Amino acid sequence: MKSFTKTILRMFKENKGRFIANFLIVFLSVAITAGFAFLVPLYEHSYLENYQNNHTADIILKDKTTNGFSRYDIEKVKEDDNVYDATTFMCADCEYEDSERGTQIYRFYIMDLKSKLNELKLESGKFPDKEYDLSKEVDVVTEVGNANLNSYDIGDKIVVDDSLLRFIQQDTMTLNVVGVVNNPLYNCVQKENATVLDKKTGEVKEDTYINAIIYLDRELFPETMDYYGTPYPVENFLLQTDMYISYKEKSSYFSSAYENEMNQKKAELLETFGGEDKIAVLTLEENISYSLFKNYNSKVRSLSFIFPFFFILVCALVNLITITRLIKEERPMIATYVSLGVSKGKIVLKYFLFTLISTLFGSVLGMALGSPILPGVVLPAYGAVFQMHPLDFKIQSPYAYIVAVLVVLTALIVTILSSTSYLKETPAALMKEKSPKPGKKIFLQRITFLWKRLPFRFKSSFRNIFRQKKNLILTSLSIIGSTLLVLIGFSLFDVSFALQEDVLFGNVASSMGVISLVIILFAIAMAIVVIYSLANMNIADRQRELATLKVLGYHDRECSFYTFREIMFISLLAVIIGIPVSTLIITFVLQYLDFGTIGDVKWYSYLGTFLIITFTTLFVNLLLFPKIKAVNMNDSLKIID
Amino acid sequence: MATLIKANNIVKKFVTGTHEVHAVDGMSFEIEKGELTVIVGPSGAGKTTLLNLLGGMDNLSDGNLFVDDVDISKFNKRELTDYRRNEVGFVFQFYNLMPNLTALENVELSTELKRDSLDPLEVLTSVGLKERVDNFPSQLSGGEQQRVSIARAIAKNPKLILCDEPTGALDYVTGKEVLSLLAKAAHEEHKTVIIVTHNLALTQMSDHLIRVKNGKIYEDVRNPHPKDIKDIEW
Repeated sequence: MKSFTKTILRMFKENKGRFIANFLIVFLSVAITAGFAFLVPLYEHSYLENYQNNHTADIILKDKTTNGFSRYDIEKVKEDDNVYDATTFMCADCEYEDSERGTQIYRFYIMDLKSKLNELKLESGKFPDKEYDLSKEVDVVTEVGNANLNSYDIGDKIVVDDSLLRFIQQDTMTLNVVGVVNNPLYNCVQKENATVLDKKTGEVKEDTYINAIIYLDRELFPETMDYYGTPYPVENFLLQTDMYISYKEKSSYFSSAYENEMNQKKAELLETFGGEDKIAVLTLEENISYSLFKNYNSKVRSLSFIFPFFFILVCALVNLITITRLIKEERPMIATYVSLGVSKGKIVLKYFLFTLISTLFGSVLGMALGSPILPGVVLPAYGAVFQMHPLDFKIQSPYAYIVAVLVVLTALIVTILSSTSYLKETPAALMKEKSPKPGKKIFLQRITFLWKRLPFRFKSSFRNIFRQKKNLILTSLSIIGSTLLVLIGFSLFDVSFALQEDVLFGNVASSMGVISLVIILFAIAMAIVVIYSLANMNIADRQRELATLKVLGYHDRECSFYTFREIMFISLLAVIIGIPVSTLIITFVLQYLDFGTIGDVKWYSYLGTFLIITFTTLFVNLLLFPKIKAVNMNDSLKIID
Repeated sequence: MATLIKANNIVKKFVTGTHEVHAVDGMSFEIEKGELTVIVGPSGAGKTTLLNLLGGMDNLSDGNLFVDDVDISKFNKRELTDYRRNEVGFVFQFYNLMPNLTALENVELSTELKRDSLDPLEVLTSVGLKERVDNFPSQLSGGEQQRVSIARAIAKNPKLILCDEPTGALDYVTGKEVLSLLAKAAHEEHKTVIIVTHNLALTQMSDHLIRVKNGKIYEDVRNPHPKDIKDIEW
């Protein structure tokens, strides 16, 4: 069956455009879904670096009495065999007037800086190593600076009064920055709420944030300190306000098992220490950096679960259009083969191969490019908010592979179904060219007063549009899909923007803007491919009509209006239907994501969506103009159909 | 009678790869206004190429072609489109009507391009389709479709009506009806009609007969007594 193999090869050669459209749509779909599917585990893995090998505190105890924690309290905690270690330290927020920076709130940690529990990572400089002489400068390290924390260089001096270190018998003390560290509990730029008292009222001030985090080494204080002439052990001055606890056996971070385990420990600790009046127990779930990332990543994960449904649908739609058209054009050849006794299976195989190769290429390439590139592109946006580490691309997302396979499978099923249904006709029926769909009165004509007033050219366009209902439905669905995607992009952007003003979300939401931009760009690319293949098909269907128009003396521009008017009209119709439909869907999507509301979406986002789809259609029309110009009058007019 | 068309040694070459084919290989002739000209010849003689040149559907490779003293051989694509739009009406073997337009609208499609065109309804009435104006092509017989196509050509009020095998897809009786319409257009309405065909019987109805073979004219005669189409048998 050599000649049959030849027809298969020729099919690929003669349908490059369709092959590319099929390939591109699958490529784009898989690239974006795989990209998002990979993003979640990749970022999680990268972010979890912050909690590796430093015995991050799983729980912080905060003393609510004024007694502080004692060694005895540590022993009590360690009675739990699962405790890796527990350590106490002093933590206090103090307000200062800085000559340059204005009112500043510093959070001081006085702790064992070399502790392996919740180990501080030295980013630059060194840890303090000289015993403190409080009458002179005191060496400190500071937490790494970011958008909301002051950044200090080694050698910087910070002058503070004695409101914290009341034991210092002098008005001011100079802190000398010798190093910059990173505490595993501070991993994002989110503002840290401060606890400072209003000096007049004695109440806790609201809406105050930490400007800097400064660490002093408890081990470097002298053993005794003078208080009005009398020496006292230094422990008397350094109230142990907090306790870090880290556990040995625990489930992986971000899992609900871990959350449950920690809540269990929390209850136990409350019990041990006499209830909420005596102590506050904070789990990692209550840590801003941890919970924000968890919340954020879960939103992107939810998003990555919504996308595929939609993309699989669009791919199937475009493939259906392509294959139906391909079979229609090859009808005489199919008839010949059927009459020569070639099995139907073999003919179906031909189109099966077309779909398989185009979608498989698209899927594999989309997977290969989308999964590293998309997370790479979005990483700076995450990095602006969270402390991220280089991505480890060995991390896999089985879900992405499932989607990639599903896209190909759905397209193949569509191909098999549409080609077998076509082959149900007898060879004799196949031999006859399918006559073009006859013109018909359309509904609009019944509204006589309107129809009469319609310019002539529009009558023909309207009839064409409603003559081919299948075409109309497929085209509209594809464009409604693109509208939805563009509007989702805009909505995420608007919601991000609205939430940015929310104290709770702050900077975090702004990086959602980058994700929304990626979605908008993909949506436009998809809209171009979809509208292009539809418009292209429209032109292919109209070769003969276009040739007739040309012969009658219609200029190329007028001929192109003949087809473009239809596409523009369908596009307008679809976008007009698409916007309310998308609004409804997005309302549910936002609800599902628990991320803002539809009310946050600005009016100009709807307008923008409308304009993008309209201009994409116009752009595609321009792209296709050469094809209209190329319609050959002589070739097309000789053919009977 | 005045001359409408003057062809001066016109040539049309097609180059396919290294091959050069002279489909029209130096033809010269004149066609008077209001004449019914029949161009006959076997397949591949260059009739259709000649018709395409006369209709402004193709450029000449060489020679001059005057239509009403204007040399269309020098026309660019745009000018040729305007020429087709204003001066030429076409009738094709397979009618080439727009399937989504009614008979009337198909005629309007061509008349809306030109200011001094005739009333579409009147022209359709004159070809005997008054009752069928609101029908779509698929609802019409072959002969009726061809009559719509003739009405479309006439209604534009062109200088020239070109017909490519107008009866090729029709049965004997219907073919005759169509031909008598074309003869009427020439003899009663003084249109210049050119029919290209391989049916030699049609030569008898012509005022002017041009026989072509291998891209050349080998007979160019005028017939002072054309037969009525009703009296021609084939």
